[in-house]
Amino acid sequence: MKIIVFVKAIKYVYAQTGTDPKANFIGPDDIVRIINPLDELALEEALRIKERQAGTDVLVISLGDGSAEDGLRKCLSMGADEAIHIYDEGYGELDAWMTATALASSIRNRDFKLILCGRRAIDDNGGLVGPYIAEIVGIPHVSGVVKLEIDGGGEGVLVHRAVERGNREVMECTIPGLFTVEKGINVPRYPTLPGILRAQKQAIQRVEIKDLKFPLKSFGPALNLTETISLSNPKPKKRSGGLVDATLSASDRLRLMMGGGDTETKGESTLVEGDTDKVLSEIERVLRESGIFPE
Amino acid sequence: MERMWAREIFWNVGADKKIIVYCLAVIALGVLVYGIYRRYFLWRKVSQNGEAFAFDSLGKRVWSLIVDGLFQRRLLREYYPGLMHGFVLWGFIILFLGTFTIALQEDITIPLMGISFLKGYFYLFYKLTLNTAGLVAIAGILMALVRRYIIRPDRLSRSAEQGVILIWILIILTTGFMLEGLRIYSLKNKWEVWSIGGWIISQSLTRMNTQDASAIAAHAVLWWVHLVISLGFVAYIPFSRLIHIVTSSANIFINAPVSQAVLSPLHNFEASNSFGVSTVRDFTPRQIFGLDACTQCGRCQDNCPAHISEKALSPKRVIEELKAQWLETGHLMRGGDGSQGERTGGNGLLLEEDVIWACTLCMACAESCPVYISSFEKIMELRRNLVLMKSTFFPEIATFFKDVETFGDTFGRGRAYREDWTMGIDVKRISDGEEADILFWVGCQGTFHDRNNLIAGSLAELFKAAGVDFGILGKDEYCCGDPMRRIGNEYLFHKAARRNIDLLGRLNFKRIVTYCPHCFNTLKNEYPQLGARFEVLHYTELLRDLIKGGSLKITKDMEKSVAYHDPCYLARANDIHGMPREVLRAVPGVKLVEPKHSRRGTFCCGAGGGHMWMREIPGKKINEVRLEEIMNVQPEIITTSCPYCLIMFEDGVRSLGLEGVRCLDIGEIIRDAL
Repeated sequence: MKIIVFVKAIKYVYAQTGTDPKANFIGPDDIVRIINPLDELALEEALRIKERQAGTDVLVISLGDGSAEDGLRKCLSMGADEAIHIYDEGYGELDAWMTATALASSIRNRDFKLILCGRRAIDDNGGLVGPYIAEIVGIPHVSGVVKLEIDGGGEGVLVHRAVERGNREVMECTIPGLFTVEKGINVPRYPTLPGILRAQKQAIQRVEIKDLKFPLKSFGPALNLTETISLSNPKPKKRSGGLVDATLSASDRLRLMMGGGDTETKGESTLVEGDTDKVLSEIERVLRESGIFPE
Repeated sequence: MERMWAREIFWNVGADKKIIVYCLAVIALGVLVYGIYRRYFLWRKVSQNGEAFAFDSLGKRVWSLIVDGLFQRRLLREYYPGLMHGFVLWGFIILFLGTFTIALQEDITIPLMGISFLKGYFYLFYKLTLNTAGLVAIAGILMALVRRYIIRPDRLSRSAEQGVILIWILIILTTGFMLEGLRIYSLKNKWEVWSIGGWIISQSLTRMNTQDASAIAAHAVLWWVHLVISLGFVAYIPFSRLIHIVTSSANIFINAPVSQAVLSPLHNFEASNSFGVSTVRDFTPRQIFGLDACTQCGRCQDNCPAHISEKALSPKRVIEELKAQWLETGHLMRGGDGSQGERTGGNGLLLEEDVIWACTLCMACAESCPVYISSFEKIMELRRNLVLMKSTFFPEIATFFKDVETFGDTFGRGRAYREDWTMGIDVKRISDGEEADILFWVGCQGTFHDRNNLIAGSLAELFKAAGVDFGILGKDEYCCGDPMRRIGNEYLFHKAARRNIDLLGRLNFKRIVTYCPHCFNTLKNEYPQLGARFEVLHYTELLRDLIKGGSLKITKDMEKSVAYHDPCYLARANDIHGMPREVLRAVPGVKLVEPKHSRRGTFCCGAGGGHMWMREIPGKKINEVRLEEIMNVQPEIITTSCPYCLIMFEDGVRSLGLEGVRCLDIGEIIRDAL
């Protein structure tokens, strides 16, 4: 079985310590390049299917600059078989539709049963590229999958989607199909050192984005369906202080309060306070009463 | 008159029997040599990680052999077992030299030079010495029997072999004295009063009115009995725990200079495909040899903080189990079978995972071992295999690795925040191209931890007050790599070290001063493995120099009882325990109290070996156990010079609900005393 996984090497902004207002006060130190965590879950899911089913190949594709290549090498070290890097120096200039167009073009004429990717990239929280690819390629898709099982015949899958309050929506879908995965589907493996060393020597196929074959004659940001007008920082949120344990020292209480602990809840809920033992026994009582713990 | 003071060698036996004696001796020696030869196969061949024994630092090795082997330095840390063993060992050495002296006279000096010297005053001195040695040895054996079978300390087991050997030695010694007594009784030479043991026996025989004929007959028989059981003992050495006579001494020679502070590097890992140890055959011959030197004395177990806190780990059992697997593997190898020895851990591991992860890498086991066996070294190799080959560890460790790789520090906070601790303090940035005499390496704890960055700030203020020309790396500072290495991820350590060495090589400074003992140990002792060589100090040494030199003037006093907790990586790994105390004593009024485990024998705070980032494992909390020990000496202040130790103790004070005690870093005490 052939599985294709799309990963994005995102710019994760973890701090805002820059000095340029035009850059939203985000300086170069505030950014780290990582693989989108949800894409990592998708890759892990593909690798698990590979472990369960002999003859499965996992191909990883990433569109982006040099960091995309680093990300692909990380995917190879986890166990992916093949990697393709679609080289594009820009970041964020292509919108979801153009990105999906490029990625879909990269896999035309390829044989596959599954396409897996993260539900959204955590840098722009778009969530569109996956479904767009499915539409362009002409296959069904299900988003937000937290469990995926291939049925015995290999003609379809059974997937679970997480909906509110812990409920699950269970769906059947034919394959080839595209599935975007959500947090909770698995915990990605940490690569072994032999895996890392092997990946350092593996060839990653590089394709310039302009060399992809597109359905339209031209390609580029000019054909974006959406346009970003402006980006701004959120206004500082008023934090509500909370009640903190009066037995702590004044400095500890101040620190906790400034750190924004909030013990108040809205609506019907039970507030449990007290020392550790009391809190634990209260929680246990609630769980028993609700039937989650057996009597 | 004195010329008569001697004894006839082979009296009542016949000098013609000498040839039989030598034949038997040769046979016994042959068996001994053969046994050791068979053992040699196990030492050299079971390992397929063929690093040969190194023989550098010959002087240090010989010195350790003399001081620890002959003079039992480490054993004497505990009086009873130390003296007990010393009595037996030295008794035997002297008795052996005594026999050798006779052979020297009979087979060399008399036939070749016509000289005999075992007579006169020398003979009396000789007899007195040998008798004392024999009596002392008997005392040692009796002490051993009492200890193992009556006192029954926890760390000793009672197997048949142990009892048999003790009784066997006792019989050899007592038959020796009986022979002497019977001879003295028969010959009635007055000068033999100097053979005190034999003299006492001959007096008893006199009192019992023993017949001369019986004495002579008994002597003739007992002589051969004594010979046979003594030579039998020699032949038995390689087939019993007595082999420690060979292996323990050799292990001192082989392993004494190996620094515990430094873990063995992975060289050339691009060319390897196997890392760490997953079968006994992956150990090096040097590591395997340590397994055979163990006599199950249990000192390692008694000093292991994990074992004392009732965790799954016992360093003694680690060695026992690995040794059993090694012997079985060797046995199977000799049989031509490709299979390995039985593994005690589940999942095909050599040891249980609980055991492998319980270790805090505090090195107390290696420090306490009288013959320099390192239990934690073996655990570390197994850990490397788990991490690098099997990727099997707690999920929080995977998160830890990813955080360090992505953000460059153990907190996962990131480069952008690295200089926040300097708020309000004006410090030079060496990484901007500025020069300074000293690079102050802050470390991840000092940079990011809420409590420890106060101390880093205090240290910076102290250096400024003393006019030290120093700078920091600021945002360019990256984790030194120690935590990753000690959790087992040699690859991440290597990457971090490589990056740091390349950066440091481009900068202008003369010395590095670190806040954290782990950074200190790694930068000083482990970075040379990758080719770097920096002059590295821990801040306590700099403080001592500044105070002594007058740059820092202590003006206030502190009337408190202060317990200084020695951090493992300062006191044990680097033998630094005097300087911090000097610094503390510079503050008038400070009353230093010492907890039970201090200086090189210090008791770990529990944060090492990656435990700062791991879940609690079943058992007591090591920091609480140590705190209770420290509180026994009733300090008002607990002080230390390590960020990990400090927060472990502050946590412990909170969780134990201790009142009336504060935890401070030495830097804070000095700052408050200026």
